[in-house]
Amino acid sequence: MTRYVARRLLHGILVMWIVSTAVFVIFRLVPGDPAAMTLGFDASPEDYEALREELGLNDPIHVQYLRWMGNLARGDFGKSITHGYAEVSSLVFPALGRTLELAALSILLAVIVAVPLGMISAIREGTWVDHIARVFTTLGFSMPTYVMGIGLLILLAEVFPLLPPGGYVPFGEDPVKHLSQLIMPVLTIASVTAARLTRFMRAGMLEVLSADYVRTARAKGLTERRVNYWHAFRNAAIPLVTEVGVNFGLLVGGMVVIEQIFIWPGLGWLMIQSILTRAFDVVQIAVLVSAATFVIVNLLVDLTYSWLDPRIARS
Amino acid sequence: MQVPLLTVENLSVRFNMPDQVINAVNGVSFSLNTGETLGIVGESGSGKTVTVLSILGLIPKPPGEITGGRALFEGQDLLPLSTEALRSIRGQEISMVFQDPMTSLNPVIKVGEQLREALWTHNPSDSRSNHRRRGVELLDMVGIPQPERRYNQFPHEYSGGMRQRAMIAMAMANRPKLLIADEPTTALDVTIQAQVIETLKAARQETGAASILITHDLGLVSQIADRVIVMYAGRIVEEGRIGDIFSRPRHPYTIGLLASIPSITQRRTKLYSIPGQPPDMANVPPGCPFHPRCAVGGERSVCRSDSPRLAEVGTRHQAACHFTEEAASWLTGRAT
Ligand SMILES: Nc1ncnc2c1ncn2[C@@H]1O[C@H](COP(=O)(O)OP(=O)(O)OP(=O)(O)O)[C@@H](O)[C@H]1O
Ligand code: SF4
Ligand SMILES: [Mg+2]
Repeated sequence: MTRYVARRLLHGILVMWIVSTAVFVIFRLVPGDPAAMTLGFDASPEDYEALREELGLNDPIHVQYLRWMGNLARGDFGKSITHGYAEVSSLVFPALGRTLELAALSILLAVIVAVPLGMISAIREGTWVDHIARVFTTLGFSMPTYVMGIGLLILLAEVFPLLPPGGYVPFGEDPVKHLSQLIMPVLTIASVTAARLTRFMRAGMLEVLSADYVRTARAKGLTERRVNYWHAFRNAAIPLVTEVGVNFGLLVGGMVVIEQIFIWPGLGWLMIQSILTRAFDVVQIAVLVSAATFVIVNLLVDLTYSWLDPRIARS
Repeated sequence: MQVPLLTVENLSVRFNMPDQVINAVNGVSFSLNTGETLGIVGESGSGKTVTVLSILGLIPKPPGEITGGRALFEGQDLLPLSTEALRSIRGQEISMVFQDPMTSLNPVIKVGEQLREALWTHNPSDSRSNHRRRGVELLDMVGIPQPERRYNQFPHEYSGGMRQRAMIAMAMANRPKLLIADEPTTALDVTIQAQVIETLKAARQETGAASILITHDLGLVSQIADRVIVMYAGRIVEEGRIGDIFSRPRHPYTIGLLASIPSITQRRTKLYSIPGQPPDMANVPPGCPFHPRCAVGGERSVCRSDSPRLAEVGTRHQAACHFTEEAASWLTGRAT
């Protein structure tokens, strides 16, 4: 088990190293170097040269690379020129927190809906419950997130003005408003994710329900409830953990559109804003942090999986 | 005459598949007395498993459907019972050991836990520690070394033979009156097979349970069964006491099966094998289902048109063949 954890950790570190190298390469390969990106095309040659010097762009490439990696390793994400020399981490991490809040609540809601729905529709395969569940999942699958988001916005903020049309107020400032601002984005994301998880849960349960050990459990004289919700569910839940984790990871990196629609200042929103203001120093760290979150989530998923499945953990 | 423990009458089961109907079991009848051991033999797909699963309501419905018959256990018909009513029979009065010990235990639940559950579900008022003690005892009884330690292990930490022993322990947990073992050794190594059969015998002796043993292995049947049923295409084609079946088989299929057993006493240069393939259960041949493969009557028109009924051919000995006499002499012809 310890060896397994160590190997997964090492794997995670390796991925992060590759990602940070890729970010380094990409941001220095794009036409127009970071200095040009920051200043725009109408800057004077003097300003341009001064910024190149300040950014260390005149140093040999390997010196730049080592400096970049060294800074990252120390957790120094630098200061943003376009944001008046503010610490980049003071921009990125609060944004990450807001994205995580949105993603976590959405996943939570999705799981709460999808697990029972997927299980019941598998146990009652072919009945009306199953049909309703399948209409719901098909809808969730076929509707693009932004259509759902804009639809909700029109319905609940325009036609029936029950909720604020997006925006963000910190919880500490106005808890009620904060929560009401969360409702629509969470509903939007959760409905799509719930559709995916319901289908996954249903398929997993169906497979497990025809397994030999489920027949054994019945042959022992256990109640249907015990057979379905203990013997079958425990097996179906293990792959579900991975699926939930992967969906969570994807959400953290894929929140760009939703955060734009609902003006939620998360990581995706920050990335768009930074691109618009040419704050490349923020963009590159935002990309990196987004990737790191994905890696960490996957690491946690793998560890949970191995803890849940005795065949992996103890072999 | 004593009242049989189990009487199956005219059991018919089919599977309604999207593109076809499989008549897996067709009018099967047999009975079993207390303490008796019945062997069921027959090729793959002949309906052995479906027959016994139907008795306990364990065939998946849909696609499965019991289209007729009764299964009287101590006088009570089990077929119309609800799942809830069947619960008190399953694992308590009648229990089963399945073919594949690798997949028959739940991989994510400890063996001891699965064993304890079998005890607990039928005696919920008994204490957890009592169940545990009895569970360890059972593991010990079926010959699992270090039962205390093994109790807390997961199935993947057991070998195939040990898993099957654990399955037997689970099946015997509530001292059932009938133990059904469906090819309990097929998935195991030859060396382990004998040990598992010994375990099964010992367990049966311990509890005095009647048993049904499903197997492909006629040799095994001859060692432990009192009577045998031979199944073909979802029908019983021959039934009788073990001695009669081995010394005076009357159905060409049974004769073929017996001729294909490797024997130590009679040194045959070439082992017989029944020609052809088991029938496709969705398209069973008309008339006698065995006719395409039958050396005795395969060419006769009556065999192609009329399905033979099971009829007496001796004391407590029945066969379903139009030409049982000829079949008997065909056997004599081969033996010389
Ligand atoms: N769940 C099921 N769905 C559809 N058909 C089934 C199902 N279970 C059994 N059958 C069909 O019923 C027929 C009899 O199957 P059964 O499992 O009883 O055979 P068997 O005699 O036990 O064979 P084996 O020796 O291979 O175990 C087969 O043709 C099989 O295809
Ligand atoms: S009825 Fe005819 S085909 Fe069938 S087993 Fe007897 S002899 Fe063979
Ligand atoms: Mg079978």
